[in-house]
Amino acid sequence: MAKAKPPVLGSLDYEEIKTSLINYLKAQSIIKDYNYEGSAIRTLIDLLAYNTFYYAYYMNMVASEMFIDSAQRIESLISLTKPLGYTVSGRRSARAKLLVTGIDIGALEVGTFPEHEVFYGINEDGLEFTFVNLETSIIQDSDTLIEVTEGELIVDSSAINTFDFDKQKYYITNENVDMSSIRVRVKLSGEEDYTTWKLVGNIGSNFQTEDNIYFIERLTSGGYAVQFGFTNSLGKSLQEGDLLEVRHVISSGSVANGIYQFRAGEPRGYTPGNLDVGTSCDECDPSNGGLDQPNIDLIKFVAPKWFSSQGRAVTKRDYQALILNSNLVNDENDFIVFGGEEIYPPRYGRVFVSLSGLEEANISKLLTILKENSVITILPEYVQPKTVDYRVEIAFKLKNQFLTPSQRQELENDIKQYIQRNFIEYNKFNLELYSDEVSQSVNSAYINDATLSSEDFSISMRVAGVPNEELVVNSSNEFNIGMNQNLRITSELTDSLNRKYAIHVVTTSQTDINKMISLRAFNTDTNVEIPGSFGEIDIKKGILRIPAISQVDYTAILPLAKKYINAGINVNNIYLTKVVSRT
Amino acid sequence: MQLIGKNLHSDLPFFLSKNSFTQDINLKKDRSAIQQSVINIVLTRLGERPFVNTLGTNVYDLMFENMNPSNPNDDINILGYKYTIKNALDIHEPRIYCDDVIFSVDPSNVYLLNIDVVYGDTNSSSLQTVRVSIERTR
Repeated sequence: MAKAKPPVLGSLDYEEIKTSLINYLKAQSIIKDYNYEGSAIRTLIDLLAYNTFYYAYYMNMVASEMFIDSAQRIESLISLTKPLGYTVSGRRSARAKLLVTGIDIGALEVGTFPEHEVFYGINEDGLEFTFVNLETSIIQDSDTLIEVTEGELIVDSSAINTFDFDKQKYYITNENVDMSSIRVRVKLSGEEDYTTWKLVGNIGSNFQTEDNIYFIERLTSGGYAVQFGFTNSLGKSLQEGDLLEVRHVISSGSVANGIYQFRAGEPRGYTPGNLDVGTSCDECDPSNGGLDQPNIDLIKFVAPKWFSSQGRAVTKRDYQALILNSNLVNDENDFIVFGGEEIYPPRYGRVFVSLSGLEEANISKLLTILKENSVITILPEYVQPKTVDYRVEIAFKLKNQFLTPSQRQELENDIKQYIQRNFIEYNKFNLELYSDEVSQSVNSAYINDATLSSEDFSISMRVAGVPNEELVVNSSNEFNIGMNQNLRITSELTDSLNRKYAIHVVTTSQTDINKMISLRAFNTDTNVEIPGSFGEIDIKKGILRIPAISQVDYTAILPLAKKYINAGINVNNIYLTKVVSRT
Repeated sequence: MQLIGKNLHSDLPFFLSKNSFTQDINLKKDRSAIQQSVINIVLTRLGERPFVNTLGTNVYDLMFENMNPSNPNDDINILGYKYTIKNALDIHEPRIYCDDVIFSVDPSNVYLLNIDVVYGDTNSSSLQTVRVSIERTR
């Protein structure tokens, strides 16, 4: 009898499991029909393989769902991130900014536009959605901008009736509630009015036993639990006789995005004036930001950082997690955070945030969040995003030397489109492009036609200079500038004395490449050097500084020595300008 | 080369019957192993076996087909079933070639349909017939 092959353990492939069982049976000679589908032994093999596969898959899922890195189900992530003090949000309502007209300011109480006014928006399919303003707004004008949130407004004024005093929890069972819309107001026995209590995100904050705070827990069933403090724990607990009001919005999710047709609903009797919604305005936004379910990758990214920072932002990643958690940005390519030590000249103790496409009000809202969470020695600062363009040229090698010119042209266009489709992106932070990755991909996609290597890439960055403003470039990539060359500038520079000049990189030895050296300028009419400081350059580190001398707009073209783009601190566009073939 | 008597094929019997001499399971060998396999393929519903969704036939659907009880084989509705059975055997039972599939209705019980599969093994010219019967219970 032949020796039985050991079974393949841990396989998740049905056919592999079946083959393993058949191989095992091959070692015996009593039952031989294991190769025929109709045989009884094959029926048993199929059954055993199916059973093994079923349990292997099940165990794999169980194991995967036990860890944040591999979990795929939102219920698992809710549970896994709970010990980290992170609450997984659920569905999110779309928001819109409306120009509300016809407000009778004189009749309003201290110029405030009341909360919970109803507006209706109709999407392109003709479906109507309800929007409400969740905050009162102080207004100066009869026409004013109001931010509204999509969803059905629920204000449970008798929440105390369903409150679980033993667990100090109020349950919101609807899984479609927008977590950010939850507001808790409490009137303790003996108090005259309701007070709004504060949501606390994690236990790292300095809250005391007697503070008016609450926590939100995500239930694995999909809803939320509003948790109050127990005796001698964080926050006050509620007692019999207290009153509780919980407000939340039941969201329709992403289906309410992109709405721009609105009308005012019936005023609730306390908003004077004939409310209407203006047809358009500069600051008006169509509804956006509605989400059906949280982004699983985002949870995996944010939750551990949230835990490691314990609500206090110290490192760059803490700030990234705070920004992503603020719901003011959509993903990590919409912003960049960089430390003061990363810029030239360095500014220690600062952390810089740059965002694209965010309004001023939201920027200051975000900065407030960052400042509240910063440690005392770090000051967050917003910087306007600067756009840097990268140009990439590629010359690949042809495998077939006998292509006609038109076939060659077609192949060049084809490869260009392929690279553009798979690697080129515009107007984003954190862009990366590595020539070896592109080469590998092109070589496998065009295995019979082209050979591409990193050396076939030519990459340059273009940075715009503004009159009377300093230009600082920190490319994190060596400049490909040889000894004693003019800096490539697209236009003729003119100084305040109306002299035309060119900036020259004067290097006397190879060691100059490895350190910061001064730039010199030469009058382009007389070819005589102009005295003075015209900036400095560190070719090896990829740092360039040109002082505010030029009176004209210009663009500096800086070829890069290393064949990659790792976009650094700017908003970037990558352009594939040329793809040519060579024999 | 004839397969019979050479113990080239051996399989477990469906009913796991015991051999009273050896006290072990009676094995199905050669011709009877193939015959059991043919019956198994014909009576397996399509999609019944996980991950082998082409194995089997749809003969149970025959119970609900209109047919001429005196000569069902000429009925146009039946031709498709004949093809399905032949095709299933061609794919999943390489030890035989299917020569014909003959349907007949039992005269004493019109709810009992007999399917005779006529096949030869690939190494011999003699034909075998195996009968598979299906019956409506109500």
